[in-house]
Amino acid sequence: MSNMFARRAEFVKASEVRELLKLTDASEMISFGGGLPAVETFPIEEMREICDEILSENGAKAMQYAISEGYAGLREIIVKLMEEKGISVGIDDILITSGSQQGLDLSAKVFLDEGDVILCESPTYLSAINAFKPFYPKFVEVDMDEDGLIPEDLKKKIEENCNIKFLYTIPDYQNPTGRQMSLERRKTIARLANQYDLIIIEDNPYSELCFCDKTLPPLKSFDTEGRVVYLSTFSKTVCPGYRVGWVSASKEIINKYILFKQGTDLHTNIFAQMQIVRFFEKYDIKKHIDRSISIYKSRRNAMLDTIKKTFPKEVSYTKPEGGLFLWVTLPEYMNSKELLVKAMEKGVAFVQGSAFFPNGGHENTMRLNYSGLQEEKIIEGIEILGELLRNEVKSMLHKN
Amino acid sequence: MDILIDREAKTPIYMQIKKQIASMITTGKLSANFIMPAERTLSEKLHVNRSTVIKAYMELKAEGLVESRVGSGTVVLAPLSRDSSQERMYIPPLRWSQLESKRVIKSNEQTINNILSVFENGKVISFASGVSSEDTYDLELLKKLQSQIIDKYKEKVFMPTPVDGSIELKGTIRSYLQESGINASTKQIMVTSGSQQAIEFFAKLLIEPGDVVLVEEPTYIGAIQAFESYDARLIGIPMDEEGIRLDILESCLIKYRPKFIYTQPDFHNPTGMPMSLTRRKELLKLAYYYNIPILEDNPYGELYFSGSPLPSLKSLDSNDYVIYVSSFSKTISFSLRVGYVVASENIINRFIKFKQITDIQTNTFSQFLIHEFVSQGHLRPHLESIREKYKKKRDLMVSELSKGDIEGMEVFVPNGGYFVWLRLPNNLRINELTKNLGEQGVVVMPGEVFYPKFSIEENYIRLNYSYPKEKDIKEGISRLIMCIKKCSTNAMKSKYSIETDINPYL
Repeated sequence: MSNMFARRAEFVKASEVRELLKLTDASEMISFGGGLPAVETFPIEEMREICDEILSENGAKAMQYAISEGYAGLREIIVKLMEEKGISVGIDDILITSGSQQGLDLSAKVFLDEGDVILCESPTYLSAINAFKPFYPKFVEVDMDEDGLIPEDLKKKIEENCNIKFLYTIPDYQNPTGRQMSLERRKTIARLANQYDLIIIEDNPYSELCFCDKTLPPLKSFDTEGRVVYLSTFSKTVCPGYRVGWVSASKEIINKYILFKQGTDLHTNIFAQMQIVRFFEKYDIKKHIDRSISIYKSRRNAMLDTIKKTFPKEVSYTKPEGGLFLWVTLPEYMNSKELLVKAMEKGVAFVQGSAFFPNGGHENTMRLNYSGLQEEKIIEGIEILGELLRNEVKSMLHKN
Repeated sequence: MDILIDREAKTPIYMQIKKQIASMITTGKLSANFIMPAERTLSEKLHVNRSTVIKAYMELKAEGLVESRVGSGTVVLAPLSRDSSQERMYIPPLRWSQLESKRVIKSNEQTINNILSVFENGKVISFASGVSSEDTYDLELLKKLQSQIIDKYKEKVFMPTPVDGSIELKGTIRSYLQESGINASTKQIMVTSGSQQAIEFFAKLLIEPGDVVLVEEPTYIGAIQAFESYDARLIGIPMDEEGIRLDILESCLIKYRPKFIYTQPDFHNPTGMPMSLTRRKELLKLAYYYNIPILEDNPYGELYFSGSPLPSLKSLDSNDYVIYVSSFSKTISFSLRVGYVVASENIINRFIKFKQITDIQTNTFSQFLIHEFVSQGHLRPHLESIREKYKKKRDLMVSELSKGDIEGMEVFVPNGGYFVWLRLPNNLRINELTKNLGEQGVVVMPGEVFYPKFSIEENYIRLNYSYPKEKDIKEGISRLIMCIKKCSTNAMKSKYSIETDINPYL
C-alpha cells in the first residue's frame, strides 16, 4: 500500500526522540537523551485521593463528554495562570489540547500552506520541526546567542523572504539550548511582529522551571494586536503522562484551532482535565513546582560541575538558568554522531545536535538532558563523555 | 424556448403550449434530459395561470415525452421511450452533488460544537448527542480500579507510555479482538486518542489534495471533517437496507479511482443500519478487484440488541486491505479517549510517527484504566447490562414515535447502536422544525450534516436514545411529534409561497 501514501507521509522521519525513548527502557544505559521530568516529582498519593474524589463528586460526568474547547474549570485556572504572567485572556480565548505537541500540530494545520516560510530559532525543538514538515513549509533559521533570538537577524530574514507565515519561538529555557530570551529582545520582537505583520507561535512549556528569580513576561504579554499564539502545557509541571496542554490566541485564530481540534480527536480526556483542576484546588502548585525545581537545579549543578572538571576547554556549552536541557558545541572537526556511537558502546546516550536544525548541518553539536537522571548517574555519564572528548582532542592534536 | 400564445384561438391555451413543446421534442429541438422550466417560471413568462402550465406538462407526461424527477423537475425523455415495443432506457439520475467542486460553500462547520455545547444547558432534552447515559457507569468499580492502578503501576501512571500504547493495553486489545475473529499481532495494533485520531491519521497518510474518498451517504460527521481537512473530495454512495449500494459504488470506483473507501458496517452512524453478510463479502471482492483499501470504522459493533454480531470486514479480509478502527468510547467511557487501530505493521509504523508529532501518546491513566477494566473481565458483564438498557430505550423511543401517526414519516429501527434515523414528511422545512424544537427545549441532529455536500433531497433527522433518560425520551418525543405536526401543517398552508425570490446581492 505504500505507493498510496501522501507526500507528507515521507516527511516524517524516524524520530530521534522516539528512538531515544526506546533507549530509556534499556535500564543499563545512562541516557541524556530524553526530556522527561524526574519521577520523584510525581504527585502519586495526591492523585490517588483526587481520582477518588472526582468520581465521588462528579460521578459519570468525568467519564462522559466535554466540549472541544475543554473543561471550563481548567480554562478558568489557565486564565489565572496567564494573568500572573501579565497576559489577560478570557476562557473563550483558550483551547485545551492533548499536550502542547498537539498545539504545534494544530498550528501547522491552521496556518501552513505549501511553500510558506517558517522563521525559527537555530536550533529549535525537534518535534516542532517534525510537526510542521508534513505541510511542506520552508524553514528559515534565525541566529541566536546567549540572550536568545537575535532581533537584527530576525529583521534581516523577514526582509529577505516572502510568504512568511509565522515565527516559531521558545523564549524560555529553549529546547534544545536552555537559553532564555532577554526582556529587551522580547519587546523588540513583539514590535517587529507588528511592524512586519507577523504571527508568532510562542511555545512555553518550561518557563515555570526557573532556577533563579528571573522569570520574564512572555512575548504574548507584549502582544498588542492579537498576533501571538501562546502554547503551554502541564506536562512539565504536573506530569507528562496526562497529555494536557493549551493554546491561547485571539478569537479569530482560536476558533480555527477549535475546528481542527474536532477533526483531530474531538476533545481532550476530561478526566485528566478534572484531575489537574483538583490538583490546583487542593494543593499548592507553587510548592510542587518548587520541589521539582530544587531537584532539577541540583542535577543541573552536578552536570555543569562535572562538565567543567572533565570536558576539554575546546568544548563550549550553555549554562541554563531553568528548563531541562543543556547545549554543547564541540570543535568544528568533531562529529557528534560518531561520538554518540562511541558513547553508546560505553553505555551513555544523548541526542546529536544536527536533529534540531531544520536545514541540517551543525554536526558538532549535542543536547544533554539533566532532569531525568539521579546525580550520581549524571556524574558517571558526563565523566565517560569527558574522557571520550579528551581522547578526541588528543588524537586530533596527534594528527596535526 | 419560444412559445407563442394566441388568446383568440379556439384551441385551449394549455393545448397550444403542449403542442408547441411536443413538436420541439419530436424535432429534436429539445434534446433528451433537457430540464423544462419550472411551472411557475413558464407561467410567468407566458402570462398564463400556473395551472395552465401544469395541465400542459401533464399532457406531455401522459404521452411519455417528459417525466418528473425528484430534485430536477420536469425532464425531456429520450425518443426511445416513445417506442412502446421497447423497455424504457434506464437513465441513472445524475447526482449533481457528486460533481460539485469543493468551492461550494458549506455552512455548518460549527454544528458539532453547537450540539456539544447544549450539554452545558441542563434543562434541554438532547437527542443530538452520541454518548452513553450517566447511569451506565459503575462508579464504585472505577474507583476500585483507580486505586489498584496507582498501587500496581505507581509512578508509571504519570510517565508517558510508548507512542503506540502501553504494552499491557495492547496485549489486552489483541486478545479482545481475537474473540471477534480478528487475529492481529501487537505490532499491528496501536492505541489512539479515540478512534477519531486513527481516522485522522489515515486521512493524513493517504490523502493528497483532490483525492477522492468514497463514503456512505449519509456518513459520520467526524470522518467528513477529517477527510476534508486534507482537501479530499468526498463522494457519497447511497445505502439501502443491506448497506452501501454496490452497483453505485462500483461505477464510482471506475469513474473516480478513489484513494480509499470509508465505511461503518455495524449500526452505521447516523442511520443505524447494518451491512448484510453478503454485502460485506461483495464489498471486499470489489475492493480486491479494484485494488482499493477500506477504512472500517466500528465503534458500535458490540452494542447489538439481538442475535449475534456479523463478522467485521477486517475478520473477513486476509489480504490486508482493511484498516480497522474502533474504540472503548461507546462501551466504557467516551471521555477517556481510548481507541485503537488494526493495520499492517507498515501502516502502524507510519501512524507511530504521526502520533509522535501529534500528541506523543494517549493519556497513560486512561490506558491503564481501560486495560484493567477489560483484562479483569469487567467488559462482558458491562456490555450485557448496557445492551439491555439501550434496547429498552430504543423500544421506548420507537413506540413513542409510532404514536405520532404522521403521514410521510418513517422510522428506521436499528438493531443496535445509539441512533434512530427518522424520515420526515417532504413538505416540512427542517430549519423551521429545529427552530421550533429549540423553543420547546429539544435538540436533534438535522440530517444534512451527515451528507458530505449538505445535498440532502429528503428530510431526515437523527435521534439519539442512549443519552436521554426514559422520561425525557417520552417527553421529548411527544414535543417532537407536536412540532412536526405543526411545521407540516404550516407547510400545507403556505404550499404556494415556499418558492421565494432569490434577490441578487448588490
